Amino acid sequence: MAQSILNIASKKLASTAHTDTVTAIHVIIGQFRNVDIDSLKFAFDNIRSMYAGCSSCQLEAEVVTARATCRGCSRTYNPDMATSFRCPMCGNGVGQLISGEELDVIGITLR
Amino acid sequence: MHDSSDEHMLERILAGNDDLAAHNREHFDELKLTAVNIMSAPGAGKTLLLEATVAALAPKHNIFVVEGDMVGNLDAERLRRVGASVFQICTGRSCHLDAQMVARFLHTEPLQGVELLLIENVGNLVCPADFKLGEHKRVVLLSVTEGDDKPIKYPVIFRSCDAVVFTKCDLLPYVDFSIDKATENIRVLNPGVETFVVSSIDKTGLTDWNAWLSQKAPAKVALSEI
Repeated sequence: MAQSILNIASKKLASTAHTDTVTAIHVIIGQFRNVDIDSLKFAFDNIRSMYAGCSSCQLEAEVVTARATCRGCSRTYNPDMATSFRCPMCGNGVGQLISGEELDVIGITLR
Repeated sequence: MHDSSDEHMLERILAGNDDLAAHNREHFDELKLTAVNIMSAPGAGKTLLLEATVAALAPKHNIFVVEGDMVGNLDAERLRRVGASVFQICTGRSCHLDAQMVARFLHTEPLQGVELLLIENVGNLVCPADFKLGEHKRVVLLSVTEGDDKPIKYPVIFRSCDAVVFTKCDLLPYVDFSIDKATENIRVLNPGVETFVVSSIDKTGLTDWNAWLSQKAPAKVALSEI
């Protein structure tokens, strides 16, 4: 995933008119994704120098909270391991997952 | 001194893998085969289940197995001994198969006439969940020795699958595992999932599992012949 993020950023840099460097890559990662941010940053920091214009950039990762509608009462809630992902109001399960599955690069900062 | 500027975008991190998975799927559809991605924790019984499955279905279906392991070909050899055509993918340090590995296999192996492509993924309940291969169906094995709370601990893979096979059910009298509780835990996240309870040792439940697979294959086989 770190490689993919840096590939995306490098391609974006190449497509701009800038001859600058990437100082930050911004990603969003949903709670329902199997990504450990610290591990991702560790891998990222170790390979960024291999990508043109990215040798000193930082990975800025924002976690997106999982939100779902309950398939029992239709309320919106945060499915969480603490409640076995059940609706805290009625105990039913996930109907539709509104957020929490994001795994996207949303921008780069250039200088 | 240059000022900073932000370039906004929205690109899926796994777009490369997903696009290749879609390409693989096109190939599978052109070949008229059904591809099934079989995932589990290490030791849940994927290979043993596939041995029993191939032994039962191979006489009537053209089955091909892709075996994913980090190193070695022990599981591939087991499956060849029961008559399967097998392609071994050694992933090296990668803990999961990805679409590129399957694409390379697709372009080197003749699959004309294959009806059912069974892909045994590397034993891992984490990463395979995120890496599509182009499969038509995703199956997760959960052995009764693992704990009925596993679906809560690994929600992503259990949410993303079409079927869950509870394996090693011959051990149920000796372990603290509730099929009902595990099923309930899965259905909180994945209400439409199909479930099977099997033992590859005493053959419990294999008829239903094999019937489900053979229904997925383009050419059906009569249940009485399995």
